[in-house]
Amino acid sequence: MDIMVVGVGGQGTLLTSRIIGKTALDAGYDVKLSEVHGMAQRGGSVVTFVRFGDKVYEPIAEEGSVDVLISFERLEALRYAHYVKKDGVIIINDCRIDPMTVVTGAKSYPENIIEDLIKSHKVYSIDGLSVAKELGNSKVLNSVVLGFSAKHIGFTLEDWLTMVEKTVPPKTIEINKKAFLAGYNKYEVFMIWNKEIECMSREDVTLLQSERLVKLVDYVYNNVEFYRKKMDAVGVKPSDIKDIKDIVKLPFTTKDDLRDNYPFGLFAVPHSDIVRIHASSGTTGKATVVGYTRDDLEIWAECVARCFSMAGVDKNDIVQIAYGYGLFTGGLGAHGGAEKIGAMVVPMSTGNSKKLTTMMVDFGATAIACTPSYLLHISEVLAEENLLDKIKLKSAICGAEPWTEKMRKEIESKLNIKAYDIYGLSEVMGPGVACDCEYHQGLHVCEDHFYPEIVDSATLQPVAEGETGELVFTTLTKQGLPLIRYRTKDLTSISYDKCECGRTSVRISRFKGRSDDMLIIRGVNVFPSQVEAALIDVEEVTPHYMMIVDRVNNLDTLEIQVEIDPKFYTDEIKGIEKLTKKIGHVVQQALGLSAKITLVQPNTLKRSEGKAVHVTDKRKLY
Amino acid sequence: MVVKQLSVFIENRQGRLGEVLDVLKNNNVNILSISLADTTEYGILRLIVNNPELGKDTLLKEGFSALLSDVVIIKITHETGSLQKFLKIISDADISIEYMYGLSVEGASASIVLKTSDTIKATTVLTENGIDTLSGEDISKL
Ligand SMILES: [Zn+2]
Repeated sequence: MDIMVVGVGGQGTLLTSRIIGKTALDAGYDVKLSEVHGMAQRGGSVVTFVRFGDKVYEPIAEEGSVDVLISFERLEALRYAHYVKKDGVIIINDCRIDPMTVVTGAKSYPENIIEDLIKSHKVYSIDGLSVAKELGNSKVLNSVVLGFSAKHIGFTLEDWLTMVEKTVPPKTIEINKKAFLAGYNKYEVFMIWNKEIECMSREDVTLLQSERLVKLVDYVYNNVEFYRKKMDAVGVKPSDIKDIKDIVKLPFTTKDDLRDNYPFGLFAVPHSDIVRIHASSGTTGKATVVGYTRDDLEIWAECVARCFSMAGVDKNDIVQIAYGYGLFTGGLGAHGGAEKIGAMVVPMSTGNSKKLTTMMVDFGATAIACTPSYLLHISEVLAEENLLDKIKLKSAICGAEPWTEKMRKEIESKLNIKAYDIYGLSEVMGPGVACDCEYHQGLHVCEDHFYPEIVDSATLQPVAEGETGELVFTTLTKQGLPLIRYRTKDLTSISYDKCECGRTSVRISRFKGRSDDMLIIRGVNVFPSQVEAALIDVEEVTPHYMMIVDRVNNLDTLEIQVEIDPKFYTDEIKGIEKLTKKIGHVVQQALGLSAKITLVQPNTLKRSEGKAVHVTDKRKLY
Repeated sequence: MVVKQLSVFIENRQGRLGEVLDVLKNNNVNILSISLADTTEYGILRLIVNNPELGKDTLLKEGFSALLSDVVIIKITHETGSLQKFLKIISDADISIEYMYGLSVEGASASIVLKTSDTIKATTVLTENGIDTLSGEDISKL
């Protein structure tokens, strides 16, 4: 790791680099510390490098290779920004000290330094002097700035405080520790979009959820016949629901309920109040239709904005949305949130990798939202076209399909970016129900709008915190299609611990599988039952089939093997080709996904006893 | 004369062709001619055998997709232009050829298996033009 500390003589830059160097040394690293412009007299530019790793040979870092630049002055940051690598960080103590050239009037002090640096780098600034003054000693500025920078360098808070204690003059230990902590706590890696909600205390969250649940239950009981009947059947009245704990008294809702009430049966508002429709695959034949009111769309954008903020995206970013636009919630959902943040949004949709990579380079896109497998594919296209060093991408918000930590690492190293996991399902809202922050310790749920429960998928009883079970959501604020205890069939666990990022919102862990047989192929939800239903309409084949899902060159492939019925066998290639095409068309219609159809000889597909095995998934996603 | 051709659907997997041939051999069905039309995934094996009905029944029993279709088998002499001659007769009669392949028979003449859009009509025009076609009986004696 390469750290560069710059400033003006007398600001304590040298002491700062020494503390960093010694902390690294104590942690067992090889450390090289060097002072380049050693003119530490008052007013001169001071530059030091701290390099540490398993073995460091050169004391001085090259331009474009520094991980963290800590600058004690604005202009000094600008002067040395070219040393910082693409995904490096610049930390600026926001103050102005005029160099001689400005004092003598030979040059003018540049305006908007921080605003300009933000365009090319991740910049964090702090008014260190004010913090130090608040503590009653402007001399501890360097400890404030160091504390503010610490999370980017690494090591534990304890390591740092121990070293501060060992390094500073004995009389100033307490005040320097205080200063370090003040800087440390001021630091926020990324902006938290809605701090009031995302960092709310557990008691306040519970109160808010209780209040909203009471309202919701009353709302659905009076506006949705389905819920009224369901509640009446189990003898629960809206008045029985007094706080969030009472949620267990309510009946569950499933995807089949949505199908049975196709298309608009579960809507709680008249059609005139619905402004948008989305749809996803149903378990059989009919799609699952979701309706949104204007307020629903507003809340959706708010949730997605929180997620994009977790990924470090702000209004200075250029975001390519490469989820499909249309009935699928991915494209328009991510789009709304990115717009709300104020980023420059490029609605790419899917299907044209070449155009996407060209625009990524030409526009200087800094963020992308798409499925993780598509992003891996994009990284290959970029590599083929020798464009990898021409992109400005910093972060990716990936979702709509399960992916592994291994895939995240692969994406991050191939593209030299940070990748984040966004989760959602169209029935509940779409992407943005939850997202992981830079600590990647589970996905923060927007729990003020979506109340999560984990239940045993067999008994439907709640499991203990931390245990794996089926994720269930209640939409606390939705108007168009409110859902009570909707069973997602996604298997995960839940944690209420406060996250290192400062958010208190509940986190769900990376998904561990599904409690049903749904597959997600190229971001599209697919149920084997859909294939079965589609094949019934093709008289030339037997009802036996096998789906083979794989990932080739980072793109999901689906092959469906079907047995040709001997009665309809033809001895002409064109006849068989026609049949293959016909089945392909029927499947495409049913799944919204193209599949390779392979005809096989009768009686060759495995017939298993009991529940037939219809899927071979070679992707190993969980 | 109309002859019954036996055809079988096989997946393009190792050993599949051998399985078909084994079934036929074990049931004393002799193969006189064989042609394989294949794509990357599967193939259609077309056979002229001494006992097509038996061939079909045994294959079906063994779980293969097999069927019989009508073809014409023409004797042609080894002289220049004989193939063109009968092709012209057929096209003049507005009959299209789906596919054709050779039937290995010893001697001075060769035979061609011909699948056309209209087998009966093809047989008729060929006979009218003095071209010999083999019958099923001829085949079974070969
Ligand atoms: Zn977090």
